[in-house]
Amino acid sequence: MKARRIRELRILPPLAIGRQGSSPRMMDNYTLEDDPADPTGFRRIVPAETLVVDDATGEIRESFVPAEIAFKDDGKFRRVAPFLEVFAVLDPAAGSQPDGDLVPLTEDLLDENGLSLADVEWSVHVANRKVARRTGDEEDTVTAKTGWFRHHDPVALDGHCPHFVKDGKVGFGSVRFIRPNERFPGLRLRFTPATGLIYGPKKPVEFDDPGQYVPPPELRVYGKGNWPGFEVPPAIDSDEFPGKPREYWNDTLPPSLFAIVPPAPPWLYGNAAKSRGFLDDTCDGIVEVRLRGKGLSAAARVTSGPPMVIPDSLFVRTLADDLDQVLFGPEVPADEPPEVTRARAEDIVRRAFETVRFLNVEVMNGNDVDGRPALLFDTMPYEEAADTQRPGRPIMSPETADTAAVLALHQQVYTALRSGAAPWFARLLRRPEEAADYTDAGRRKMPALMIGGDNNYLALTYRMIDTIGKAARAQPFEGPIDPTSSAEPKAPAAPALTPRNRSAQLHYAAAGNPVSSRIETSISNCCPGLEVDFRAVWRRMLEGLVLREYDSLVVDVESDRPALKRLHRHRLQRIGGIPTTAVMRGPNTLDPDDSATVPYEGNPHGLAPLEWSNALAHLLWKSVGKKVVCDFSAAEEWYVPTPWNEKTSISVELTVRPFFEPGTVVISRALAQPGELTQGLCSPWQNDYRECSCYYWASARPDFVNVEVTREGRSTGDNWMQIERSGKYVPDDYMDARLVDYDRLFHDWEKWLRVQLRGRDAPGEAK
Amino acid sequence: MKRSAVKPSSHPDRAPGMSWRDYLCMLLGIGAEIEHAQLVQYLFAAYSLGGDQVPAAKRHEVRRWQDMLLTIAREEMGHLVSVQNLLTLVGGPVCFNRRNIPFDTDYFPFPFQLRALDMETITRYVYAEMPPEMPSDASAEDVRVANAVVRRLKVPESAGRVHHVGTLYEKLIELVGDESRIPDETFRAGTYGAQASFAEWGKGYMPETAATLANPSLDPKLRRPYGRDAVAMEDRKATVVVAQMATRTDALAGLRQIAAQGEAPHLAAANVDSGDEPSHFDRFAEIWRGIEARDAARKPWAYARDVAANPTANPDLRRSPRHSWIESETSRSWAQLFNLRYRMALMWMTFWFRLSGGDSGAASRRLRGMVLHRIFGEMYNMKTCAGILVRSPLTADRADPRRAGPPFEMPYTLVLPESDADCWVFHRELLRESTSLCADLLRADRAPDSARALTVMQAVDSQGIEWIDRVLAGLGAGREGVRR
Repeated sequence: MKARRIRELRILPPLAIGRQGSSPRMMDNYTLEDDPADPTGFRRIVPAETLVVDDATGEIRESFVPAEIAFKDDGKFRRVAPFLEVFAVLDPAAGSQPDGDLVPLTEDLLDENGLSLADVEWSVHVANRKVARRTGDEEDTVTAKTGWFRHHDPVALDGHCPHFVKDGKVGFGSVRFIRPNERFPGLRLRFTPATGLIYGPKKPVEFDDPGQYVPPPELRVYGKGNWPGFEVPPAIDSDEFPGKPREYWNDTLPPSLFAIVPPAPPWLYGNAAKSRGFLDDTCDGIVEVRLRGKGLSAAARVTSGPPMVIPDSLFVRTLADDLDQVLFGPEVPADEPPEVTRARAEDIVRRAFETVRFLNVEVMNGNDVDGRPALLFDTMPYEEAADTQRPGRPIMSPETADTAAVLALHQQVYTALRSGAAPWFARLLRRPEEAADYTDAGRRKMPALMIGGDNNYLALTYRMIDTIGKAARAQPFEGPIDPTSSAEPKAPAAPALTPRNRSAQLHYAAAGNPVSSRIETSISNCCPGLEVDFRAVWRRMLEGLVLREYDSLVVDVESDRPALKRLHRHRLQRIGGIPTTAVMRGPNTLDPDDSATVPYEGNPHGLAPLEWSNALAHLLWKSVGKKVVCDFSAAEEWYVPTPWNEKTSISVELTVRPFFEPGTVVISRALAQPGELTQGLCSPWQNDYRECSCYYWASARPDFVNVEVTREGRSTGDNWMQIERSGKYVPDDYMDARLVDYDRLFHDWEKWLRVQLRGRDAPGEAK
Repeated sequence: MKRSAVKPSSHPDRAPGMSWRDYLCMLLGIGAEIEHAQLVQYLFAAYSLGGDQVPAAKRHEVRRWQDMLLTIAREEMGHLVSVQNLLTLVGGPVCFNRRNIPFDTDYFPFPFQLRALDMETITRYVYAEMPPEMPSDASAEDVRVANAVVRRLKVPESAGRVHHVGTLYEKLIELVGDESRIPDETFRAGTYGAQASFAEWGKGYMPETAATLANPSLDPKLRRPYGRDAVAMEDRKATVVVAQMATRTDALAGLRQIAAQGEAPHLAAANVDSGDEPSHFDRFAEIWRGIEARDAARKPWAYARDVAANPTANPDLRRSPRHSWIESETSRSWAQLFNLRYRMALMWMTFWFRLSGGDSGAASRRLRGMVLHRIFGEMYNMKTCAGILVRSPLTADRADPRRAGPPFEMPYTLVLPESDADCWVFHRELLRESTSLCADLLRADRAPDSARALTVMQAVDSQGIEWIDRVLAGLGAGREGVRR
């Protein structure tokens, strides 16, 4: 037998999600399956082989399949602590694949290559940059670096920051190099996230509220910087200071997404947002492994975030959809087997109705609620009215807006798809470049009622749209039906895990990892997001420039490209001829069948930024590593964008950076340093469950639960944030004391984030 | 082309004892029936297209033909609903009825038949939707098609068998515009809100707002959507007209709008620009030319499945020479399920207008929003069943290549029970029947696509039954609908 020479290393999965909780028990492994007996029902949570790590030895002591899956113990969430496995790419001469086999790295394999376990080293570098992103002060970055280690003891991820008090730290959790044994010989590392504590300043920001959360003394670590009391300069987004020039500030979107001194949220109170100086213990970063003396190494990413509160449903657009688009391009390949495309189309529709299920469609549609005007409640029509400075109006006919009825309609679409009927609704899908079409026809496109990463109406990825389109194009050419035969068309073999099969690597399910650790469970219409702010990954796509995550502003120029300094604070208007903005179109007030641009004082050209993930999809696919012509505004325009002008815009050729590290599906380190994939998220993340409404991520942060049909045939239920379950929906208006408020979340988020199973409060959660 | 040689056939006149309003309602009823019949025939033809025998190189073209037929069918649906609106406006009864196969009247463009698309059917469709006089600026190609169609149909010899739908609309426009026969008080402006609106029924099938094209940052050379789904954008040119009317002027405008879109483009209001939306004639003519080219090819290829004409699941018609009896028991069960869903769609539509009536309370008006979703849900279910049927065998003989098809057989009545509670009970019964049929089919039909669809349909129907239970409870009715 030929020696199996290791040529390269990989860590799989390339991006693992840890989820927080304070139960001492880790989340057992589970997966999701369709329920054949209830095809339109919730996904079945199926217990799977769970690996138990021995505290003392660091090896996997045993494995078991739990009888049932518990998400909390005594009201405390179980953490999702994913394993990251090491794989070796073998020399092609020794394997079955032309590009070499991709096999788990074991001690035997090390031995065959003249190495031992002692030659395997790990290093982890994670950070929390949420505060630094707001204050603009790099000294506010909280960083944990383990350095290289080889042992099998837990290694704490202690986050340090120049602005912390002496010995102050934020614990991001730990990592552990699992000791291989005979039964579990593969090399792996486990990332255990932190428990979900909220840290704060040495001297708490004082205000008069007896219910306020004040971090206990041991969590008051922030000492020197400006985070407590930090305020986004009000002049950047308000006209309250006549005569005062607008002040440049590289703000996030939303600009004040952090815990503030009441009253909150800031947009209801003159945009005044004074930070309480809170930090959370989430992080993101890089895990590396290397073989000493061989020059071989590999990397992967980890991130940590809140638990999945709806574990039996998936969101309509996930991080997996966006990464698939990066990997495969915006179009489905012509040679993809039709049954594969059809299955994916069905899955998209299924996720659509899983998302609708948790939206109070009647309220989210912008209907008045019990006579109270719709603009009192935070919905997408409200968001649109604010963005366009026009009166709000319902999206669809108010009488037709009802959750159960819209859900049933989606399910009937699903029925037709499952019968092999062509999807006929491709034309009704919102195209990404139409996200700012606020005409009735535009707003009623699907997906409806939700916000996208660009603050406009949510669109699917181009690739998802093309999936539906291709499924339609494959029709109507199905063969005849033989009612006497139950033979399924031969399913294509599952793609093998090979070095070249990057899709299999991207979606790799590591042993012992619950589905909630995977990218398929991470929402991607990041505005900004929950697990990852996927907007942040595009900031350095063009060599030399740093763009703002949510629009086209050049906020920095890399130090080795001084010639580009002239573009600082200019707008990137087009890349390769593709606009970075859309024109906001609204109904023409004189002719309802016509439309008009929607300008207003702060945006006279009515331009709306488009999310990078879709805006760059076609370009990225063709131009990685190549130069493209980029057009910039003629002048600094950090506040008011202007459209491209052939005569005045500045054209520069820039190189498009590779998205993934060479040969892998690891998001390139050149694009995002540790902490940058989560830096736009809320600080602390608990704040976001009050600050953002469900039209952001309905099946991750639900709105409508315990839903039943009234005797009037309409849907009723509880607002997920409702303190007392009454069956009478309390509209989400931030000020209603019947709803969970910010400080309740800070005090006891594990109590208030109530797990939903089959659309209802899980046992014990209703109280 | 001179069409003046075609003599208009006789049409029913106002009978003694019939008021002009009554006569108008009768004509509108005929109009509704025509729109309904055309809708159904176009759908049948569209469903017949395709099959795995279509050469790969021709699939794009066949798909385009199917898209065009479906688009026209959707627009006919808009016409059908608009006619109901006009009936509502003048205080007439809504009409979703239609006679069964085959039938003919003086106003019908051609005898109603459910046929797979072929040269004969498309020739009739072109004729029915072409203007009586081709406009002077018509292209030479359009004129050639029109002349060829006339020759094929042997017009004028067949006059009286094949007509223009526009004839009826001419009469309707004349009547509605005549104040001496239809006085102003006939038009009940208060029904406007009770009529179907585009917002509810149009499903977004209206001209695009060109949000993309309005972008000044888009290079003129790039003014097209990204990606290859330009075809899907082409499909967006469909325009479903749902005319809501409050006055005589609105009624005339609505009739002209419907006429202009398909049946009688010469009746369009002079000031209305149809933009770049192709007319029904344009679309049918394109298909006609495609089939002509295919027929002339050295190796003609089959663009449609071998779907039987006028399929029936009615045992009384099993020996009818004008029908194709669906002999395969499994396919017949699917046909019965299709007929049931068709019936449900029609009953829900009729009920929607009942709930919309001027006397209905707020609760009823809220319920009609829910009923609207059920209507569209039934359309999806019909599509599901039709898709299975055109792939399923007509007979039990495995060597028989013929396929069954959706029979579109009308129920014995569309008249609703008097009380709302009884209507709900009726709808629930239909759902229960469907559940039962699905269960039978699940045992009989082992094909994976069938089983996948049936399990979901059953599950959704069960939810529908629970929903009606709740509504009935709200009406103070017991489980069987008797008011307590």
